[in-house]
Amino acid sequence: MFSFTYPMFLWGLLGLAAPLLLHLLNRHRPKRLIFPTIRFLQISQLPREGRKRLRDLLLLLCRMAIFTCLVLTLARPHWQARPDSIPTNDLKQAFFLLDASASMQTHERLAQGKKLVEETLADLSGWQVGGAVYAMQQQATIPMQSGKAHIQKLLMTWIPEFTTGKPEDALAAAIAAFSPQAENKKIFLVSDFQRSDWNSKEVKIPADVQLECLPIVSPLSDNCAVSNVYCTPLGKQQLRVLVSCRNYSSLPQKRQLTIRLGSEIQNREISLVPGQTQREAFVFKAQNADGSKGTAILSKDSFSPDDSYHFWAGAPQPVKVLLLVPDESSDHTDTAALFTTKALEAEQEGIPGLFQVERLGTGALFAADLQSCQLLFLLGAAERLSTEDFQRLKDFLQAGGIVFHCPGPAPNLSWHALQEHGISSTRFSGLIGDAERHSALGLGWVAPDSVLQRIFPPGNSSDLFLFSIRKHARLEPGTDEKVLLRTLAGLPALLELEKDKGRFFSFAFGFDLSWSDFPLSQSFLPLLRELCASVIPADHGYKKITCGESLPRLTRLDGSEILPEQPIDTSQPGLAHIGEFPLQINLNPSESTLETVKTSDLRRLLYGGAEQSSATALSSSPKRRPLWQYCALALALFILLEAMLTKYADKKA
Amino acid sequence: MSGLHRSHCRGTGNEFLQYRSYVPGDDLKYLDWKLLARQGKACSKVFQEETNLRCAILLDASASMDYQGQKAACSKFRYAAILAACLAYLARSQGDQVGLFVYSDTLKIATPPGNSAGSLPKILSELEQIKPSGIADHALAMRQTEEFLNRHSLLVWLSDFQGFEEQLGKALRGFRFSGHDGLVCQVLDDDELTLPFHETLRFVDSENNREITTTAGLVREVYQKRLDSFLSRTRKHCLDQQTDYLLAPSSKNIGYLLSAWLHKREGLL
Repeated sequence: MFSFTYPMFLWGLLGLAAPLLLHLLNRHRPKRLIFPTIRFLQISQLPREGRKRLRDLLLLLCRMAIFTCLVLTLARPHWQARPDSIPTNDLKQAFFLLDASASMQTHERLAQGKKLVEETLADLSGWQVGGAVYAMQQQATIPMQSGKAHIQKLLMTWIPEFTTGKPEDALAAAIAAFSPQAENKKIFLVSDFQRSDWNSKEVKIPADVQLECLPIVSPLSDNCAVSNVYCTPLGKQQLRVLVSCRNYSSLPQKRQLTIRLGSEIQNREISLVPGQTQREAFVFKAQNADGSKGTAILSKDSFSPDDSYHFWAGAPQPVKVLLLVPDESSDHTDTAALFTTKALEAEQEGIPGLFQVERLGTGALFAADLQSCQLLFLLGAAERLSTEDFQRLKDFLQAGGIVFHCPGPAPNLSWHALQEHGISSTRFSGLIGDAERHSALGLGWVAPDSVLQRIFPPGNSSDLFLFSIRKHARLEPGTDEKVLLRTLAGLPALLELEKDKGRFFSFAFGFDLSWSDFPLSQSFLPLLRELCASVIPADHGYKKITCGESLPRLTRLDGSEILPEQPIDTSQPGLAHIGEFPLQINLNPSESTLETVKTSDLRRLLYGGAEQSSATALSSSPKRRPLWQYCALALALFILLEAMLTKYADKKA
Repeated sequence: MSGLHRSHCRGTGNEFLQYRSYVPGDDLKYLDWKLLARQGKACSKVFQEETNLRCAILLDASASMDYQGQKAACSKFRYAAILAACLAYLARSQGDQVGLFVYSDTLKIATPPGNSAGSLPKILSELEQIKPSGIADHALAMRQTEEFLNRHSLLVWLSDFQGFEEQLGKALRGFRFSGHDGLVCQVLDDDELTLPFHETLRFVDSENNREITTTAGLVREVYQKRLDSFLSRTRKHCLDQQTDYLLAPSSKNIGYLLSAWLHKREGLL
């Protein structure tokens, strides 16, 4: 019995009319020639026309055959023996997998899902039926049993959560639940098939298990969501709350946005453009510790879980900065550390400094907890580090840390050590200038596409160029390093290297006065702060997770883990604290999207990836034989024949 | 005023032509006294009178002349026009009078022979501007042209003479009877002479728009026979009326064609 995997391609056979019409329209019509006189001409016999017509007919048939073979190849035909000829086994098993992810949290979807299960159950008389409800984890499982009453119990427990769906474990459990003796095995997937839930390729369904997708189609036609909230202090005891709202529907939507922060509530009606994220700003009075919990709420729509967003509105956690100086303190290193600390900890317009600076000797680096700090300054300390210390530095950079390096009393050793341990590829080629003679060197160029260009724009860059440099290292940057600043002579003064997730900045001069007047200049503080701020993530200080996600592992400077005072339930949206770190738990934005995966693509994925479709997977059983290869072969032969006929016709013409 | 060309009128020229017997009434100044004294025969001297040539160029500008074949560098009409321009230039260069008559269904341009300084530029300008169209009425054109030629003239007739081979003899006879001299130059394209096509074509008559669909390769033999008959009849009618006939394939070099014809004319004199 013939059947097709993609029968919709058979509509393409209507296209056979095209070569037929072209053939009829393109009949050979003699060329018209205006001749002085036709008195001497006579009508001739056309003895070869019949042969030509036959050749044209063969070409037409050949082209129609090519088209038919192409359509059949795409439709993937296969031969399947008649059901009555298949030896049957009495044991037939079916397993229902019910999606309980957050996107199912609408009344219509759940009701539709239950209806689909009940309709399918009606057709499964004589089957053993099992089932499981899953979200991020498997919730409830019912083993294979005869009868349908226990599935009704499973449907009662089918209550969607706030987490995303991870069907891999449930699928693996379903496959394991089948008896090896069962002749017919079927898995019924009842889900909305949201794209984000079905990206995994970890689970593969065996070829003898049939997969039936029962998609729940209930579009969230008017869904809008609060996707993020940022709080920034404004000074004067005020707080700015930036709320990002997204309209996931295809129509403009009007919503009431309510921000509740402590006891203060603000409302605003907003219009949301389809498919876009929009930011709304609110100004609140600065909150004390108790009133720093906030909630952004949109008026209700068809999908309510993403209409509210919980956020902390307290002061942001400071960025921890570690200043690494040589153990033997000298005036130069003390000065450099002092200037750096003052610049980073300074308040600006009444807003407390973002950075919390700690000073550490090179000998104590082995004990420092680099996980809890984001920035590390090597103030003349690179030449004092051991191989183990450099390995820790590399790990720090790999994890996304930022390292600033300034030369100390032995710049040749420091750059050599950095190069030797694979942290930087910069070559040191000596010193320029002399501290005693006060030779005047200075900066002369800022990289146009860098953050420094934004702080010191071209028309206002004189502040940066005003201080004098007494001496600086002559650096030869590696191929992967970017020059951010150059001296008047065009030599690199500040280099940036992207190292794994982190970044490595290298100054050609130190931050003490023996190198330059840079720490005394007006540009020192903005340059250092903005450069540091530019590499810190915008949401630093607040730990954000989505519902169902495990808690982040936080450690103190001494290496001890920070644990929450009370157990935190991450399956529900809300706010919590892990030690002093505020934690926001909200719905995963991917649950709000309307994008679904095609069931045909999903079958291909679950039956072994792109190289093996579900059809071929099922066809590995001897009852089902694919025929598309023969169609493809016939297609190739007909193309060859057509080419030969065309060439012959051209030659004759 | 005497010119370069020998006149058909014998009489008062400078160049001796022949003797004839004296008849009473002859002017005694032409009587050869020395011959009479030596032989006792009374003979009068006959002289050839030299006159200027009056040259009229009659050019066919019908639609059939607008054909350009695969080998030809230009259309038949353009070829004939260049030929006419060359003849006009040569004639004017030796002080002869030149006129131009262009026709298709009617006489479109009629410039009687004249020897004014502006006659040649005028002829060249007219040749450049005229576009071939319509059905040729050769007989009417011939009659109308003859009205402009009241003295002995040389008529150079440039046409393909399609469909006119039977009436050509009659037309030339009347013309010759009026005392004019003639040159018939039949301009044909190589495609017309050889029918070099292979495929089946829809031939459309350029003048009457009738169509015939045929495979040229199959009818070439018959075509050639009919064409040869047409050419030979045209040539015969010309020779019968003591008129020069020249076949001018439009792919042939005009310089060679003209020099060959002029040498032939000189040899005849």
